Amino acid sequence: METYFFSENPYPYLPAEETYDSIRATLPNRAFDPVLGAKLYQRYFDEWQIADELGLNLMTNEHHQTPTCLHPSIAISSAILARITKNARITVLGNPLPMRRDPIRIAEEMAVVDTISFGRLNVGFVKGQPYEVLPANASTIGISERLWEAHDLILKAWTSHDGPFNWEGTWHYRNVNIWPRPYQQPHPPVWMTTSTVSSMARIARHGYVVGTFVGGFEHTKALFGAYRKTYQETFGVSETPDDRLAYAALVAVADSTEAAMERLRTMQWYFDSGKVARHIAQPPGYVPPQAFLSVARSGPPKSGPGAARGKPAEWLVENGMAFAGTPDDVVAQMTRFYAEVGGFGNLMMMGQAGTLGHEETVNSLELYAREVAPRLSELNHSLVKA
Amino acid sequence: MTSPVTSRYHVEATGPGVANVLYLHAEHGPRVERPFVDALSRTSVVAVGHHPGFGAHAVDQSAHSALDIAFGYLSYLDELPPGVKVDLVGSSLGGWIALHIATMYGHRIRKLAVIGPIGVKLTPPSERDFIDVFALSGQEVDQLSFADPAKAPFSGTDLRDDDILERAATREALVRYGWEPYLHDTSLRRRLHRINVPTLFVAGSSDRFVREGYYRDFAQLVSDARLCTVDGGHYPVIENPGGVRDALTSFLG
Repeated sequence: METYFFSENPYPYLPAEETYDSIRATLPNRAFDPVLGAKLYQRYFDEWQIADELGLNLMTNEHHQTPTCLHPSIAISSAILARITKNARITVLGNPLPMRRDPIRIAEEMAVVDTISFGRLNVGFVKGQPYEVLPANASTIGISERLWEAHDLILKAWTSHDGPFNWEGTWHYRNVNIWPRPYQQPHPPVWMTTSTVSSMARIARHGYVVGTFVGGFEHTKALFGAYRKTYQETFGVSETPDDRLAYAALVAVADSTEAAMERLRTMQWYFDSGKVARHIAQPPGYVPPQAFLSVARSGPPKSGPGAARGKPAEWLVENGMAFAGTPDDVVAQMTRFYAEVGGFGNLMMMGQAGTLGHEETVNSLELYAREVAPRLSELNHSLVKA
Repeated sequence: MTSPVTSRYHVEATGPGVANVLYLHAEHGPRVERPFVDALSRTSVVAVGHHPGFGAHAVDQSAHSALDIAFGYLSYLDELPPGVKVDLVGSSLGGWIALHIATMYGHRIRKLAVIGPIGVKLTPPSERDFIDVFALSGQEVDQLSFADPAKAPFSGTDLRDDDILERAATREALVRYGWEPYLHDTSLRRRLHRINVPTLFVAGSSDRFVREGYYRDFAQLVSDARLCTVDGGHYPVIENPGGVRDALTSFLG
């Protein structure tokens, strides 16, 4: 089991939730204190460095127009990590390809970060959450096609070494010839994400690592099962290597179960602060009309962050959306989860969220790195080169 | 990625014989505007265009813009008997499409009437001609778009499944044609000078979907245009079909 320490690096010092409509897209940045924000950035990068020194890998992401994540450019945050860390693999999960205007710039940025890090980069490509549509002014029409076209273009840019080529599709370039090229050859490992079974096959056919987020037991089992089915058909193997599968959950470790649960309660801000106006959360065209009908008729989501909002911390642990407790507790919870979902090889460990402070975050990371991670190594079925 | 616009869209006539009015619906789709079409068809044979992606009409992958849709209707006009002209009428999105048609096919149009049209941006970059329907709640959009929000289609909490599906499809279609540039395209404004048929702009007296004065400014860009006002918001075709019919009758004759 490889563990990637993950935090969205939030700015959680907000006015009362009743005073705003949506934590995404419309919350005025008057609520952001630049001095406090600057201190937060220093602190958060310190935590990434500590996680690296503890032997953990790192994962970072990007969101826009929201205090839930202070990284609107994954290239900037990962570039800093590439220079200030030594050993960790750095997963950027991910570049929201259909939301960005310039895929070649992403190809260039990722090649630079890969090179600065001496090839420690895993590059994630994601569609982007529905609430990112408005901040990016990204049309929902053809959004999945744009994801894959940008993917094709970036892969070609990374792997073409004989001078310029042209690309005239959704994006128009007549002279693609990136410098530098990536450090890892032929290109950095690719990660993608999904929360739906229907979009899993295409990811599995490429053999990419797939990341899924706080889906809990049942949904994650279905997602990983769908990946394995296509992967094994595509590659003619009887088993899918665990390292193709990644799962994100909140993780809080402490010397006592109660102290860890208290940390988890602090971190639940990640779920509970998720107030988003419906027209921002459900932009037209992001899903087909039939899916709008399903949402209207089926009520609140049964898995994922939407389902976790407002639930007790114990519910998160019982449902596999968080692993929290003493090192023994966490090993037991993760071993159970691993068995229930049929195995996975990468834990994206949200080890800091909400107002969880620096000392508690570091203590949790230390306990995890020293007393949990070593005991998870036996969980892996097998590995292929990432 | 692109394929040619060759399809002729579904056009439904309200009576026998050659239609003398081609009507192009707004962004809620054709179904909710039926009372207006019925009112208009008392004095005219109305051909109602159904834009792809609205109602039961499948998305046409070759249509990405109001201009693409306009080309689809050129095929309809080409098939009219030689020498026949129609009165072209459009509401909001349909007005945008109609204006495009009029810049190209004046020889097939007798008169043009646009009711609350969109499609042209007249303000500087940081000002709005239209409310942002994708950045407001459904209730806010209805309140700003209708003099009486209770008349807004697909509103309320007890929608049937078909209504939910149709609302989602129509909103998706509006994203397809109007996301960026938002509810306009830069080419139309440059071509408005080509419109050479008598033109009527019909504005709702309580239209808060557009900025104040928008239609006064818009109508000045068309050489033979005048502006009249009827009761209603941005969609008087839905709220006040009789009032719009009367305004059109006196213009079209």
